[in-house]
Amino acid sequence: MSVLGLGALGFGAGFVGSIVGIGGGVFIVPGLLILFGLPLRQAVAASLVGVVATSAGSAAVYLGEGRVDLPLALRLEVMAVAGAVGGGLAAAWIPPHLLYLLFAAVVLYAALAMFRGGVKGPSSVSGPAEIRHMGIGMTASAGAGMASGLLGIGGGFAKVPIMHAIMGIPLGVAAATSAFMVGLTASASAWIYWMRGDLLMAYAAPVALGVLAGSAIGARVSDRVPTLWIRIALTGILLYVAFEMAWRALGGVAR
Amino acid sequence: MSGAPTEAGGGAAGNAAVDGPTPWGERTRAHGLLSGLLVWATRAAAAAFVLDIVDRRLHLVGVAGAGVLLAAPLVAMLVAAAQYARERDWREAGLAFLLLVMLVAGAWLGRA
Repeated sequence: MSVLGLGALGFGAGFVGSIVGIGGGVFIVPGLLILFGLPLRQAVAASLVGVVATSAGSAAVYLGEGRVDLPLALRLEVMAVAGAVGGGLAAAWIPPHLLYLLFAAVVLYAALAMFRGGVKGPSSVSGPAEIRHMGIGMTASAGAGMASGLLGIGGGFAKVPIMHAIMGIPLGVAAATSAFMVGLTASASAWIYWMRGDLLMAYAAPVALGVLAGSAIGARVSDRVPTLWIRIALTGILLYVAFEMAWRALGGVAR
Repeated sequence: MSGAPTEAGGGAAGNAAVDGPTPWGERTRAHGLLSGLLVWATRAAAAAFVLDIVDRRLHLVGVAGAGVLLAAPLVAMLVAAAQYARERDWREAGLAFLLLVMLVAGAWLGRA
């Protein structure tokens, strides 16, 4: 295990995540599994700490700008936290190959979203003064929370499009509200992993530090880097990760 | 913000207000409090992680940093509940308190 390597993984995940508008979880968990050979539950726990760190850093800015819709976040989070607690508890007895399969499906979806343009767009905070389809939003939040608890991801790449396209929330508000929400969701399951003894600080601390630095720098340079090529490269990486996870699910790697 | 306490009608009173007029981008006192809390929690955790990495004898400092980071959302909900209660926005205060209880219960269930 190399502290520098772990920090670099976190930095890369935070950097590209902030550029293309997704959290780092979909990169951190596979990175810890493939590059550092960490068992799945420990990788998920370390990733969750990274997700909380990213969320706290970005949500602090968005809250300061008043872009987070707090009442909406509170409503959606009731379902998301319930899902995260359920997912975090269920992760202890769900066979790893099922989790790998679920991860492959989620990463495949993320790759598709990335190929279609990521979830970043004009940071508009204006739009029709109406929130539609709260039921769909709450159901999606529960699902995103469950995925977060099981797989160590933030789920922003699923939440933001749903909040924007289905619930009618301006993209800037949806992204900011989601950034705040994923921290709450991830902390709910991170505590469960920690209490169960799955959180290894030797891995979580460098990754979280790297994520914090990477997302801070990524946010500053995001307007100056060619996102098209980054998106294409990340789509390729995510497709490889999906394949690797599916391969593990089918018994390619017994871990 | 759909639940801004400055809004007419005392903020987002349930789905009725969520479905009603929602002036986006309004910064309330709760926003400011939570923002400040998260800034300091992130800084404290980052400093603790650095100390942990630089000197392994300070491992407990790193653990404390993780504790601060992961406890920040819980404290945020406590602060939000208190602030909304102060503004007599009982529905938002109740939701924030419910989330706090759920977060604590989740951690307790993980230990069990």
